[in-house]
Amino acid sequence: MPDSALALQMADMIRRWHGIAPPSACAPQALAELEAVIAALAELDGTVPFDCEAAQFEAALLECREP
Amino acid sequence: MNPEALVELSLTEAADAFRRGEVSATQLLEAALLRIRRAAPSTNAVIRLDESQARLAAHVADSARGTGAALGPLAGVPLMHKDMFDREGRISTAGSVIWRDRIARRTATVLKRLDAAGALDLGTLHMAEFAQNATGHNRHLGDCRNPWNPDHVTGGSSSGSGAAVAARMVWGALGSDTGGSVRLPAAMCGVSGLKPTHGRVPRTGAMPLSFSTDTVGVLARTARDLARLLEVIAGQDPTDPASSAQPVPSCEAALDGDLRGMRIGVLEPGFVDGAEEEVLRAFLPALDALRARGATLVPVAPAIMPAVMAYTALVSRSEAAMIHAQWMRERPGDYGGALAARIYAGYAVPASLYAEALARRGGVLREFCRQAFAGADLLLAPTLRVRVPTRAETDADADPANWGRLMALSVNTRPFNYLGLPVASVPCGFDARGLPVGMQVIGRPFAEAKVLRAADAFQRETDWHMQAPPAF
Repeated sequence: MPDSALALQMADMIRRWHGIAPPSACAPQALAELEAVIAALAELDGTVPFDCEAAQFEAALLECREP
Repeated sequence: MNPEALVELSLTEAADAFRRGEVSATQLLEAALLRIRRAAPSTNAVIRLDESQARLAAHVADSARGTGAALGPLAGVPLMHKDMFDREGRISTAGSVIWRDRIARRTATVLKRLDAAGALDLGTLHMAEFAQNATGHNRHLGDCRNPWNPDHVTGGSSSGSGAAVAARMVWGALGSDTGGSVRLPAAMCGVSGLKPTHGRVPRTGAMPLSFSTDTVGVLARTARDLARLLEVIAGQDPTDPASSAQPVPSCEAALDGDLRGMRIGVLEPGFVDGAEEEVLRAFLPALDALRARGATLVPVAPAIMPAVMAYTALVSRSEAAMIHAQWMRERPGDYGGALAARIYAGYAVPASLYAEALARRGGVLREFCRQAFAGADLLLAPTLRVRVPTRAETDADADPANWGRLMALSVNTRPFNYLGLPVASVPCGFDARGLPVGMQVIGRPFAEAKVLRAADAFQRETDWHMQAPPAF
Protein backbone atom coordinates (compact mmCIF):
# COMPACT_ATOMS: atom_id res chain seq x y z
CA MET A 1 0.00 0.00 0.00
CA PRO A 2 2.60 2.67 0.95
CA ASP A 3 4.38 2.27 -2.38
CA SER A 4 1.24 2.03 -4.49
CA ALA A 5 1.19 3.50 -7.97
CA LEU A 6 -1.00 6.32 -6.75
CA ALA A 7 1.39 7.17 -3.91
CA LEU A 8 4.28 7.24 -6.36
CA GLN A 9 2.31 9.53 -8.67
CA MET A 10 1.51 11.85 -5.79
CA ALA A 11 5.17 11.96 -4.74
CA ASP A 12 6.13 12.87 -8.29
CA MET A 13 3.47 15.59 -8.45
CA ILE A 14 4.58 17.07 -5.13
CA ARG A 15 8.17 17.17 -6.32
CA ARG A 16 7.17 18.93 -9.54
CA TRP A 17 4.71 21.44 -8.09
CA HIS A 18 6.34 22.17 -4.75
CA GLY A 19 9.96 21.08 -5.02
CA ILE A 20 9.59 18.89 -1.95
CA ALA A 21 10.91 15.34 -1.71
CA PRO A 22 9.53 12.63 0.59
CA PRO A 23 10.90 13.84 3.92
CA SER A 24 10.90 10.71 6.05
CA ALA A 25 10.16 7.02 6.31
CA CYS A 26 6.54 7.82 7.18
CA ALA A 27 5.91 9.73 3.94
CA PRO A 28 4.61 6.70 2.02
CA GLN A 29 2.14 5.97 4.86
CA ALA A 30 0.96 9.56 4.81
CA LEU A 31 0.33 9.45 1.07
CA ALA A 32 -1.33 6.07 1.25
CA GLU A 33 -3.74 7.47 3.82
CA LEU A 34 -5.01 9.82 1.13
CA GLU A 35 -6.26 6.83 -0.82
CA ALA A 36 -8.92 6.35 1.85
CA VAL A 37 -9.80 10.04 1.59
CA ILE A 38 -10.15 9.72 -2.17
CA ALA A 39 -12.44 6.73 -1.73
CA ALA A 40 -14.56 8.62 0.80
CA LEU A 41 -14.89 11.57 -1.56
CA ALA A 42 -15.84 9.25 -4.41
CA GLU A 43 -18.63 7.81 -2.30
CA LEU A 44 -19.91 11.31 -1.61
CA ASP A 45 -20.05 12.23 -5.26
CA GLY A 46 -23.50 13.56 -6.05
CA THR A 47 -24.79 13.07 -2.51
CA VAL A 48 -23.90 16.46 -1.07
CA PRO A 49 -26.62 18.77 -2.34
CA PHE A 50 -25.01 22.06 -1.50
CA ASP A 51 -24.16 25.14 -3.48
CA CYS A 52 -20.61 26.36 -3.26
CA GLU A 53 -20.58 29.78 -1.63
CA ALA A 54 -17.22 30.94 -0.43
CA ALA A 55 -18.38 33.24 2.36
CA GLN A 56 -21.23 31.29 3.84
CA PHE A 57 -19.59 29.52 6.77
CA GLU A 58 -19.59 32.48 9.16
CA ALA A 59 -23.20 33.19 8.14
CA ALA A 60 -24.11 29.56 8.80
CA LEU A 61 -22.55 29.72 12.27
CA LEU A 62 -24.90 32.59 13.11
CA GLU A 63 -27.93 30.93 11.50
CA CYS A 64 -27.34 27.70 13.41
CA ARG A 65 -27.30 29.29 16.85
CA GLU A 66 -30.01 28.19 19.24
CA PRO A 67 -33.45 29.30 18.12
CA MET B 1 -3.74 26.15 54.00
CA ASN B 2 -0.65 24.06 53.25
CA PRO B 3 0.80 23.81 49.71
CA GLU B 4 -0.60 20.30 49.17
CA ALA B 5 -4.11 21.54 49.93
CA LEU B 6 -3.68 24.66 47.78
CA VAL B 7 -2.79 22.75 44.63
CA GLU B 8 -5.88 20.57 45.10
CA LEU B 9 -8.14 23.62 44.81
CA SER B 10 -9.80 24.20 41.48
CA LEU B 11 -8.94 27.39 39.59
CA THR B 12 -12.14 29.13 40.66
CA GLU B 13 -11.67 28.01 44.27
CA ALA B 14 -8.12 29.37 44.26
CA ALA B 15 -9.17 32.68 42.68
CA ASP B 16 -12.08 33.08 45.07
CA ALA B 17 -9.89 32.22 48.08
CA PHE B 18 -7.45 34.93 46.99
CA ARG B 19 -10.27 37.44 46.56
CA ARG B 20 -11.58 36.68 50.06
CA GLY B 21 -8.13 37.12 51.55
CA GLU B 22 -7.83 33.49 52.62
CA VAL B 23 -4.65 32.91 50.64
CA SER B 24 -2.06 35.15 49.03
CA ALA B 25 -0.85 35.05 45.46
CA THR B 26 2.62 34.34 46.81
CA GLN B 27 1.33 31.28 48.68
CA LEU B 28 -0.39 30.02 45.54
CA LEU B 29 2.77 30.58 43.52
CA GLU B 30 5.00 28.81 46.04
CA ALA B 31 2.61 25.86 46.14
CA ALA B 32 2.71 25.66 42.34
CA LEU B 33 6.51 25.87 42.26
CA LEU B 34 6.80 23.13 44.86
CA ARG B 35 4.59 20.85 42.78
CA ILE B 36 6.40 21.78 39.56
CA ARG B 37 9.74 20.77 41.10
CA ARG B 38 8.23 17.42 42.02
CA ALA B 39 6.20 16.68 38.87
CA ALA B 40 7.97 18.42 35.99
CA PRO B 41 10.94 16.03 35.69
CA SER B 42 8.85 12.89 35.31
CA THR B 43 6.24 14.43 33.00
CA ASN B 44 8.52 16.72 30.97
CA ALA B 45 5.57 19.12 30.85
CA VAL B 46 7.42 22.39 31.39
CA ILE B 47 9.42 24.20 28.73
CA ARG B 48 10.08 27.53 30.40
CA LEU B 49 9.68 28.61 34.01
CA ASP B 50 9.50 32.38 34.55
CA GLU B 51 9.88 32.11 38.30
CA SER B 52 11.27 35.54 39.14
CA GLN B 53 8.77 37.43 37.01
CA ALA B 54 5.93 35.43 38.54
CA ARG B 55 7.20 36.19 42.06
CA LEU B 56 7.17 39.88 41.24
CA ALA B 57 3.66 39.64 39.78
CA ALA B 58 2.47 37.75 42.87
CA HIS B 59 3.90 40.45 45.11
CA VAL B 60 2.13 43.13 43.05
CA ALA B 61 -1.15 41.17 43.26
CA ASP B 62 -0.86 40.80 47.03
CA SER B 63 -0.11 44.50 47.41
CA ALA B 64 -3.02 45.47 45.18
CA ARG B 65 -5.41 43.37 47.21
CA GLY B 66 -4.10 45.01 50.35
CA THR B 67 -4.97 48.46 49.02
CA GLY B 68 -8.51 47.44 48.16
CA ALA B 69 -7.94 47.76 44.40
CA ALA B 70 -10.42 46.10 42.05
CA LEU B 71 -9.42 42.48 41.42
CA GLY B 72 -9.87 40.63 38.15
CA PRO B 73 -11.63 37.25 37.98
CA LEU B 74 -8.30 35.37 37.87
CA ALA B 75 -6.38 37.61 40.25
CA GLY B 76 -3.50 35.92 42.02
CA VAL B 77 -3.73 32.58 40.19
CA PRO B 78 -0.59 31.22 38.49
CA LEU B 79 -1.14 29.78 35.01
CA MET B 80 1.16 28.34 32.35
CA HIS B 81 0.38 27.95 28.67
CA LYS B 82 1.21 25.92 25.61
CA ASP B 83 4.43 27.34 24.17
CA MET B 84 2.84 28.93 21.11
CA PHE B 85 1.37 32.21 22.34
CA ASP B 86 3.42 35.33 21.67
CA ARG B 87 4.60 37.48 24.53
CA GLU B 88 6.59 40.47 23.35
CA GLY B 89 10.31 39.95 23.85
CA ARG B 90 9.95 36.27 24.77
CA ILE B 91 10.73 33.15 22.77
CA SER B 92 7.83 30.82 22.01
CA THR B 93 9.22 27.69 20.39
CA ALA B 94 6.00 26.05 19.16
CA GLY B 95 7.76 22.87 20.23
CA SER B 96 10.08 23.15 17.25
CA VAL B 97 13.70 23.67 16.29
CA ILE B 98 12.63 26.08 13.57
CA TRP B 99 11.14 28.54 16.08
CA ARG B 100 13.79 27.87 18.73
CA ASP B 101 15.16 31.42 18.63
CA ARG B 102 12.08 33.30 17.44
CA ILE B 103 11.41 36.26 19.70
CA ALA B 104 7.84 37.56 19.66
CA ARG B 105 7.29 41.17 18.66
CA ARG B 106 3.80 41.42 20.13
CA THR B 107 1.73 39.85 22.86
CA ALA B 108 -1.11 37.49 21.98
CA THR B 109 -4.58 38.87 22.64
CA VAL B 110 -5.42 35.94 24.91
CA LEU B 111 -2.35 36.60 27.07
CA LYS B 112 -3.22 40.29 27.30
CA ARG B 113 -6.71 39.37 28.47
CA LEU B 114 -5.42 36.91 31.07
CA ASP B 115 -2.97 39.56 32.31
CA ALA B 116 -5.82 42.05 32.60
CA ALA B 117 -7.84 39.51 34.58
CA GLY B 118 -5.02 39.29 37.11
CA ALA B 119 -3.61 35.84 36.25
CA LEU B 120 0.10 35.26 36.87
CA ASP B 121 2.06 33.93 33.88
CA LEU B 122 4.47 31.35 35.25
CA GLY B 123 5.89 30.14 31.94
CA THR B 124 5.28 27.84 29.02
CA LEU B 125 4.39 24.20 28.56
CA HIS B 126 5.35 21.28 26.34
CA MET B 127 3.56 20.83 23.05
CA ALA B 128 3.71 18.66 19.96
CA GLU B 129 5.97 20.16 17.29
CA PHE B 130 4.00 22.94 15.58
CA ALA B 131 0.86 21.65 17.34
CA GLN B 132 0.60 18.68 15.01
CA ASN B 133 0.23 15.40 16.76
CA ALA B 134 -2.38 13.77 18.92
CA THR B 135 0.03 12.21 21.42
CA GLY B 136 2.66 14.58 22.82
CA HIS B 137 5.62 12.92 21.12
CA ASN B 138 8.32 15.47 20.38
CA ARG B 139 11.66 14.57 18.86
CA HIS B 140 13.26 17.88 19.86
CA LEU B 141 11.97 18.34 23.41
CA GLY B 142 11.53 14.72 24.37
CA ASP B 143 8.05 13.26 24.80
CA CYS B 144 5.61 14.65 27.30
CA ARG B 145 4.63 11.83 29.67
CA ASN B 146 1.24 11.08 31.16
CA PRO B 147 1.09 11.88 34.91
CA TRP B 148 -1.06 8.76 35.43
CA ASN B 149 1.57 6.51 33.86
CA PRO B 150 4.71 7.83 32.14
CA ASP B 151 4.74 4.95 29.66
CA HIS B 152 1.57 6.36 28.15
CA VAL B 153 1.03 9.45 25.99
CA THR B 154 -0.49 12.64 27.35
CA GLY B 155 -2.45 13.36 24.23
CA GLY B 156 -1.62 16.31 22.07
CA SER B 157 -0.93 18.66 20.81
CA SER B 158 -1.45 20.64 24.06
CA SER B 159 0.46 17.89 25.84
CA GLY B 160 2.06 20.00 28.58
CA SER B 161 -1.22 21.78 29.30
CA GLY B 162 -2.95 18.45 29.98
CA ALA B 163 -0.11 17.04 32.04
CA ALA B 164 0.50 20.21 34.08
CA VAL B 165 -3.14 20.66 35.04
CA ALA B 166 -3.53 16.96 35.87
CA ALA B 167 -0.39 16.91 38.03
CA ARG B 168 -1.58 20.05 39.86
CA MET B 169 1.37 22.15 38.67
CA VAL B 170 -0.99 24.96 37.64
CA TRP B 171 -4.70 25.63 37.97
CA GLY B 172 -5.33 26.19 34.27
CA ALA B 173 -3.64 26.49 30.91
CA LEU B 174 -4.24 27.70 27.39
CA GLY B 175 -4.11 25.20 24.57
CA SER B 176 -5.05 25.25 20.93
CA ASP B 177 -7.38 22.90 19.09
CA THR B 178 -7.31 22.33 15.34
CA GLY B 179 -8.39 18.67 15.35
CA GLY B 180 -8.63 17.77 19.03
CA SER B 181 -5.50 19.31 20.54
CA VAL B 182 -7.26 20.57 23.67
CA ARG B 183 -9.77 17.73 24.05
CA LEU B 184 -7.34 14.85 23.54
CA PRO B 185 -4.86 15.82 26.28
CA ALA B 186 -7.77 16.76 28.52
CA ALA B 187 -9.26 13.29 28.06
CA MET B 188 -5.99 11.38 28.30
CA CYS B 189 -4.77 13.26 31.38
CA GLY B 190 -8.13 13.27 33.18
CA VAL B 191 -8.88 17.01 33.16
CA SER B 192 -11.50 19.25 31.57
CA GLY B 193 -10.96 21.06 28.28
CA LEU B 194 -12.92 23.39 26.04
CA LYS B 195 -12.64 24.01 22.31
CA PRO B 196 -14.77 27.10 21.67
CA THR B 197 -16.83 27.97 18.60
CA HIS B 198 -14.84 29.05 15.54
CA GLY B 199 -14.17 32.78 16.01
CA ARG B 200 -15.22 32.92 19.66
CA VAL B 201 -11.65 33.47 20.95
CA PRO B 202 -9.23 35.73 19.04
CA ARG B 203 -6.13 34.12 17.60
CA THR B 204 -3.85 37.12 17.19
CA GLY B 205 -0.42 36.11 18.43
CA ALA B 206 -1.20 32.38 18.44
CA MET B 207 0.87 30.12 16.19
CA PRO B 208 -1.15 29.37 13.06
CA LEU B 209 -1.66 25.80 11.85
CA SER B 210 -4.90 25.97 9.87
CA PHE B 211 -6.60 29.33 9.45
CA SER B 212 -10.00 27.74 8.92
CA THR B 213 -10.01 25.34 11.85
CA ASP B 214 -7.63 26.71 14.51
CA THR B 215 -9.17 27.62 17.86
CA VAL B 216 -7.63 28.75 21.14
CA GLY B 217 -9.01 26.72 24.04
CA VAL B 218 -8.53 26.13 27.74
CA LEU B 219 -7.76 23.24 30.10
CA ALA B 220 -8.48 23.19 33.83
CA ARG B 221 -9.83 20.96 36.58
CA THR B 222 -13.56 21.70 36.31
CA ALA B 223 -16.23 22.97 33.93
CA ARG B 224 -16.62 26.00 36.18
CA ASP B 225 -12.93 26.76 35.72
CA LEU B 226 -13.37 26.54 31.95
CA ALA B 227 -16.32 28.93 32.13
CA ARG B 228 -14.31 31.53 33.99
CA LEU B 229 -11.33 31.24 31.67
CA LEU B 230 -13.54 31.45 28.58
CA GLU B 231 -15.27 34.59 29.79
CA VAL B 232 -11.87 36.22 30.16
CA ILE B 233 -10.39 35.32 26.77
CA ALA B 234 -13.48 35.32 24.50
CA GLY B 235 -14.91 38.18 22.50
CA GLN B 236 -14.21 40.19 19.39
CA ASP B 237 -10.75 41.61 18.87
CA PRO B 238 -10.12 44.30 16.26
CA THR B 239 -6.69 42.80 15.53
CA ASP B 240 -8.30 39.47 14.48
CA PRO B 241 -10.82 39.99 11.69
CA ALA B 242 -11.94 36.37 12.05
CA SER B 243 -13.01 36.89 15.65
CA SER B 244 -16.75 36.94 16.20
CA ALA B 245 -18.83 39.91 17.31
CA GLN B 246 -21.20 37.60 19.17
CA PRO B 247 -21.63 38.74 22.76
CA VAL B 248 -19.95 36.54 25.36
CA PRO B 249 -22.53 35.29 27.86
CA SER B 250 -21.87 34.79 31.53
CA CYS B 251 -21.13 31.08 31.31
CA GLU B 252 -20.30 30.69 34.98
CA ALA B 253 -23.57 32.25 36.09
CA ALA B 254 -25.46 29.65 34.03
CA LEU B 255 -24.04 26.71 35.98
CA ASP B 256 -26.99 25.58 38.06
CA GLY B 257 -26.66 21.80 37.93
CA ASP B 258 -30.19 21.47 36.59
CA LEU B 259 -30.63 19.58 33.30
CA ARG B 260 -34.39 19.09 33.52
CA GLY B 261 -35.95 19.57 30.12
CA MET B 262 -32.63 19.21 28.32
CA ARG B 263 -32.42 16.63 25.53
CA ILE B 264 -28.97 15.23 24.92
CA GLY B 265 -28.23 13.27 21.77
CA VAL B 266 -25.75 10.40 21.82
CA LEU B 267 -23.80 10.27 18.56
CA GLU B 268 -23.96 6.56 17.90
CA PRO B 269 -22.72 5.56 14.43
CA GLY B 270 -18.94 5.67 14.42
CA PHE B 271 -18.45 7.66 17.58
CA VAL B 272 -19.96 5.22 20.07
CA ASP B 273 -20.34 2.13 17.91
CA GLY B 274 -16.66 2.25 17.00
CA ALA B 275 -15.37 2.67 20.55
CA GLU B 276 -13.43 0.05 22.50
CA GLU B 277 -15.24 -1.85 25.22
CA GLU B 278 -13.28 -0.23 28.05
CA VAL B 279 -14.12 3.22 26.72
CA LEU B 280 -17.81 2.32 26.66
CA ARG B 281 -17.54 0.89 30.17
CA ALA B 282 -16.85 4.47 31.31
CA PHE B 283 -18.93 6.36 28.75
CA LEU B 284 -22.25 4.55 29.04
CA PRO B 285 -22.63 4.96 32.85
CA ALA B 286 -21.93 8.66 32.33
CA LEU B 287 -25.24 8.88 30.52
CA ASP B 288 -26.97 7.78 33.72
CA ALA B 289 -25.29 10.62 35.62
CA LEU B 290 -26.77 13.10 33.15
CA ARG B 291 -30.19 11.45 33.44
CA ALA B 292 -29.92 11.80 37.21
CA ARG B 293 -29.66 15.56 36.69
CA GLY B 294 -32.84 15.57 34.64
CA ALA B 295 -31.60 15.21 31.06
CA THR B 296 -33.31 13.02 28.50
CA LEU B 297 -30.89 10.96 26.39
CA VAL B 298 -31.74 10.18 22.76
CA PRO B 299 -29.76 8.43 20.01
CA VAL B 300 -28.60 10.65 17.14
CA ALA B 301 -27.29 9.49 13.77
CA PRO B 302 -26.69 12.42 11.39
CA ALA B 303 -26.62 11.09 7.81
CA ILE B 304 -24.31 13.94 6.82
CA MET B 305 -21.35 12.55 8.85
CA PRO B 306 -19.55 10.92 5.90
CA ALA B 307 -19.38 14.30 4.18
CA VAL B 308 -18.18 15.94 7.38
CA MET B 309 -15.44 13.34 7.78
CA ALA B 310 -14.32 13.53 4.15
CA TYR B 311 -14.10 17.33 4.05
CA THR B 312 -12.46 17.43 7.48
CA ALA B 313 -9.61 15.40 6.04
CA LEU B 314 -8.79 18.06 3.46
CA VAL B 315 -8.82 21.45 5.13
CA SER B 316 -6.21 21.47 7.90
CA ARG B 317 -3.89 19.25 5.83
CA SER B 318 -3.88 21.74 2.96
CA GLU B 319 -3.51 24.82 5.12
CA ALA B 320 -0.69 23.35 7.22
CA ALA B 321 1.11 22.39 4.02
CA MET B 322 0.87 25.96 2.78
CA ILE B 323 2.17 27.45 6.05
CA HIS B 324 5.16 25.10 6.16
CA ALA B 325 6.09 25.04 2.45
CA GLN B 326 9.22 27.16 2.63
CA TRP B 327 10.67 25.26 5.60
CA MET B 328 9.72 21.92 4.07
CA ARG B 329 11.79 22.86 1.02
CA GLU B 330 14.73 24.40 2.84
CA ARG B 331 15.08 22.50 6.12
CA PRO B 332 12.99 19.31 6.10
CA GLY B 333 15.47 17.66 8.46
CA ASP B 334 14.45 20.07 11.20
CA TYR B 335 11.06 18.41 11.47
CA GLY B 336 10.30 15.16 13.24
CA GLY B 337 9.77 12.42 10.67
CA ALA B 338 6.09 11.78 11.36
CA LEU B 339 5.25 15.47 11.33
CA ALA B 340 7.14 16.06 8.10
CA ALA B 341 5.22 13.20 6.50
CA ARG B 342 1.92 14.57 7.69
CA ILE B 343 2.65 18.00 6.26
CA TYR B 344 4.01 16.41 3.09
CA ALA B 345 0.73 14.64 2.31
CA GLY B 346 -1.03 17.99 2.35
CA TYR B 347 0.68 18.93 -0.91
CA ALA B 348 -1.12 16.10 -2.67
CA VAL B 349 -4.61 17.44 -1.94
CA PRO B 350 -5.97 19.02 -5.15
CA ALA B 351 -6.72 22.72 -4.78
CA SER B 352 -10.21 22.28 -6.22
CA LEU B 353 -11.14 19.79 -3.49
CA TYR B 354 -9.71 22.01 -0.77
CA ALA B 355 -11.79 24.88 -2.16
CA GLU B 356 -14.85 22.63 -2.33
CA ALA B 357 -14.42 21.63 1.31
CA LEU B 358 -14.39 25.30 2.31
CA ALA B 359 -17.14 26.43 -0.04
CA ARG B 360 -19.51 23.72 1.18
CA ARG B 361 -18.61 24.16 4.85
CA GLY B 362 -21.57 26.42 5.59
CA GLY B 363 -24.02 24.10 3.88
CA VAL B 364 -22.61 21.06 5.63
CA LEU B 365 -22.86 22.83 8.99
CA ARG B 366 -26.48 23.79 8.34
CA GLU B 367 -27.35 20.23 7.41
CA PHE B 368 -25.47 18.75 10.37
CA CYS B 369 -27.31 21.06 12.77
CA ARG B 370 -30.66 20.29 11.10
CA GLN B 371 -30.09 16.56 11.48
CA ALA B 372 -28.26 16.38 14.80
CA PHE B 373 -29.91 19.13 16.82
CA ALA B 374 -33.50 18.66 15.61
CA GLY B 375 -34.28 16.54 18.65
CA ALA B 376 -31.36 17.43 20.91
CA ASP B 377 -29.98 20.48 22.66
CA LEU B 378 -26.50 19.00 23.00
CA LEU B 379 -24.62 15.98 21.70
CA LEU B 380 -22.34 13.46 23.42
CA ALA B 381 -19.54 11.23 22.19
CA PRO B 382 -16.44 9.60 23.67
CA THR B 383 -13.43 11.86 23.16
CA LEU B 384 -11.36 8.88 22.02
CA ARG B 385 -12.56 5.59 20.61
CA VAL B 386 -9.58 3.83 22.17
CA ARG B 387 -7.88 3.65 25.54
CA VAL B 388 -4.91 5.93 26.17
CA PRO B 389 -2.11 4.27 24.16
CA THR B 390 1.48 3.84 25.22
CA ARG B 391 4.18 6.13 23.86
CA ALA B 392 5.84 3.17 22.18
CA GLU B 393 2.80 1.95 20.28
CA THR B 394 2.10 5.38 18.77
CA ASP B 395 5.68 6.44 18.03
CA ALA B 396 5.67 6.64 14.23
CA ASP B 397 9.21 8.05 14.15
CA ALA B 398 10.50 4.88 15.80
CA ASP B 399 8.37 2.62 13.61
CA PRO B 400 6.34 3.89 10.62
CA ALA B 401 4.04 0.91 11.13
CA ASN B 402 2.57 2.89 14.06
CA TRP B 403 1.30 5.57 11.67
CA GLY B 404 -2.25 4.30 11.43
CA ARG B 405 -2.64 4.00 15.21
CA LEU B 406 -1.31 7.54 15.65
CA MET B 407 -3.59 9.13 13.08
CA ALA B 408 -6.70 7.30 14.30
CA LEU B 409 -6.56 8.93 17.73
CA SER B 410 -8.32 12.12 16.66
CA VAL B 411 -11.09 10.56 14.62
CA ASN B 412 -13.80 11.50 17.17
CA THR B 413 -12.56 15.06 17.65
CA ARG B 414 -11.58 16.33 14.17
CA PRO B 415 -15.06 16.68 12.66
CA PHE B 416 -16.08 19.39 15.12
CA ASN B 417 -13.26 21.65 14.00
CA TYR B 418 -14.53 21.53 10.43
CA LEU B 419 -18.03 22.21 11.76
CA GLY B 420 -16.73 25.00 14.01
CA LEU B 421 -18.82 23.86 16.98
CA PRO B 422 -18.04 24.32 20.70
CA VAL B 423 -17.01 21.11 22.49
CA ALA B 424 -15.95 20.33 26.04
CA SER B 425 -14.17 17.15 27.08
CA VAL B 426 -14.67 16.03 30.67
CA PRO B 427 -13.32 12.99 32.54
CA CYS B 428 -15.89 10.19 32.77
CA GLY B 429 -13.95 7.27 34.23
CA PHE B 430 -10.83 5.13 34.01
CA ASP B 431 -9.85 2.06 32.05
CA ALA B 432 -8.65 -1.15 33.65
CA ARG B 433 -5.05 0.10 33.63
CA GLY B 434 -5.97 3.25 35.55
CA LEU B 435 -5.78 5.66 32.60
CA PRO B 436 -8.52 8.31 32.20
CA VAL B 437 -11.43 8.19 29.76
CA GLY B 438 -13.04 11.38 28.44
CA MET B 439 -16.44 12.38 27.10
CA GLN B 440 -17.25 15.18 24.65
CA VAL B 441 -20.22 17.52 25.09
CA ILE B 442 -20.98 19.25 21.81
CA GLY B 443 -23.20 22.29 21.27
CA ARG B 444 -24.62 24.47 18.54
CA PRO B 445 -22.49 27.45 17.46
CA PHE B 446 -21.82 29.87 20.33
CA ALA B 447 -23.59 27.57 22.85
CA GLU B 448 -20.58 27.36 25.17
CA ALA B 449 -22.73 28.31 28.16
CA LYS B 450 -25.04 25.33 27.56
CA VAL B 451 -22.12 22.96 26.91
CA LEU B 452 -20.50 23.99 30.18
CA ARG B 453 -23.78 23.86 32.04
CA ALA B 454 -24.15 20.18 31.13
CA ALA B 455 -20.49 19.48 31.87
CA ASP B 456 -20.81 21.16 35.27
CA ALA B 457 -23.99 19.26 36.08
CA PHE B 458 -22.18 16.03 35.22
CA GLN B 459 -19.33 16.99 37.53
CA ARG B 460 -21.78 17.67 40.38
CA GLU B 461 -22.98 14.10 39.95
CA THR B 462 -19.55 12.44 39.59
CA ASP B 463 -16.04 12.88 40.98
CA TRP B 464 -13.87 11.74 38.06
CA HIS B 465 -12.57 15.30 37.61
CA MET B 466 -11.41 15.34 41.24
CA GLN B 467 -9.13 12.31 40.88
CA ALA B 468 -5.43 13.11 40.99
CA PRO B 469 -2.51 11.07 39.69
CA PRO B 470 -1.08 9.25 42.71
CA ALA B 471 2.59 9.80 41.89
CA PHE B 472 2.85 13.37 43.17
